[in-house]
Amino acid sequence: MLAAAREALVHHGVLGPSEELPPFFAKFGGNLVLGMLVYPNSGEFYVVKVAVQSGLDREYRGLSAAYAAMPRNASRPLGLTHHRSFPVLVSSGIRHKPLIPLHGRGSVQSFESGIKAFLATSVRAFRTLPGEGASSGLSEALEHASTLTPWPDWHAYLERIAPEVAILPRIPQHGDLSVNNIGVAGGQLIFFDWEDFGFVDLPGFDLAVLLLSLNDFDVRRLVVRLRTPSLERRLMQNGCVSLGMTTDLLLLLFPAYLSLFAQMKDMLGYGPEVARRAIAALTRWLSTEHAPDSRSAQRSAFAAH
Amino acid sequence: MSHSPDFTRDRRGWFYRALAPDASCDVLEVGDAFASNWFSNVVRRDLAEAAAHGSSPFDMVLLHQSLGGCTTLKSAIDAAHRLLRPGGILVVAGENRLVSARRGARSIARAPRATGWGLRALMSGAGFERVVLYAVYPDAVSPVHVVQADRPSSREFFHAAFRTRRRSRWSPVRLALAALTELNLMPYLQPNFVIVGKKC
Repeated sequence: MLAAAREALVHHGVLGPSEELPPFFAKFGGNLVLGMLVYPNSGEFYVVKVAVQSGLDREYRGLSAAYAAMPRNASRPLGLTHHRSFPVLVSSGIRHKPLIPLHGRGSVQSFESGIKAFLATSVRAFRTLPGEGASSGLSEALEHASTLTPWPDWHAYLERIAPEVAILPRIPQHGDLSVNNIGVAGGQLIFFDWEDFGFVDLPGFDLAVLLLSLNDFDVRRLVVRLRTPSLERRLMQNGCVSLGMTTDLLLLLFPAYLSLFAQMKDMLGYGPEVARRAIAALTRWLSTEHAPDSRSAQRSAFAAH
Repeated sequence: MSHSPDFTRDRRGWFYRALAPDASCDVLEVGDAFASNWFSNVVRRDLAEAAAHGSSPFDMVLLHQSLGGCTTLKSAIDAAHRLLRPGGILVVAGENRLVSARRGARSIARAPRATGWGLRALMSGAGFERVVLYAVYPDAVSPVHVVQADRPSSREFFHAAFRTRRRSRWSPVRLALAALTELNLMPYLQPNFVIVGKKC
């Protein structure tokens, strides 16, 4: 894999043909992808991903779309090539700071405006891309979730959201917009890890994942935060404006988002633990006042604020 | 022993596969058994015994937290050198002597134990070239990160790692860690490492 990474860097002109692989650090991801940050002498650095089993086409497509739509917020893809039977994706690195912890009012405001801009850009720039269709996968995801979550209203829920989903535009989602995949550089948010791009194209999915990850997938905590004036509540309200949907609809679709998240992580080989976490969050969500069968109570709770 | 590689069953040993030229190379595995998840031609045998009785040359020898029956780290490295083909790779996953002394009982008995500098010198002295030291996290068995000890990569890694910790700007610990990072001492102060060398 290191030899494949070196050959890809030579292919993209980062290294000369006889140069050794520069110093790097590496991590082996849950999706069986070797992720490396490589530091040649030039002072720049490069992100190299080598996939063991899956392809990297989806990530390359996502990163290319992101860089075309928001070049200041995504790293520049150099290309996807194959070496020694491994697909290798090379992109330029961006020096950044982690998003969390958010320090001070300015930092929070910049985060909020960055997310709002990201969502607005994704609606404008991604909706024309050929997605793989969430509407077709949604019923399978809900069916899968129904086998894991004891909730009697799954069928009624699908019937209830189907007409709402049908009129939503299809917008390929980042797929894993958790706080770990967002950095800060030069006052701008940088969005990383596009490997799940387009697996889901149901609008609001990225916002839901972000809200959950801000609370470490603790649904009870998120529910409290959404009910009171908070960062999460503002993100939800502003995000829904960017997405052109109501907060009621976003909350109604939360079980669908969690079902899709669990199915996606399961199918993309992230291991059972990640999917289990999503299903646990889903089960929790269905036990709160935000469960879709208690919508009237939910509306009144949110209207009170 | 020959198995089809299984990438998903057990992810331990991923860095050994990353280092290898391909999955079908001949591997001698010493220590915990998980190389067969990644390689199709794995032999598990005591290192001292294989060196004493002769064995087909290997493309790769993995000393995973074990000296393989040898009494010293130097003799283990020498034995591995004899068992490798020219151009073959020796990988040693061991403990940092500077840190393992403090960890006491948590150290693994008979694990390769040396300082990063000492191990580098041993490898070079035994006839290995392109010797590269890596610090591993959180441990050598299932590292999440592998960091090449050279300055550009280790400096970036450790600065990034410390940025995520909540410490005041002028905290003595923070300043000390920043200084150790700038001096590129951090990889040499980690409890576990992997060192890799190529037989000339």
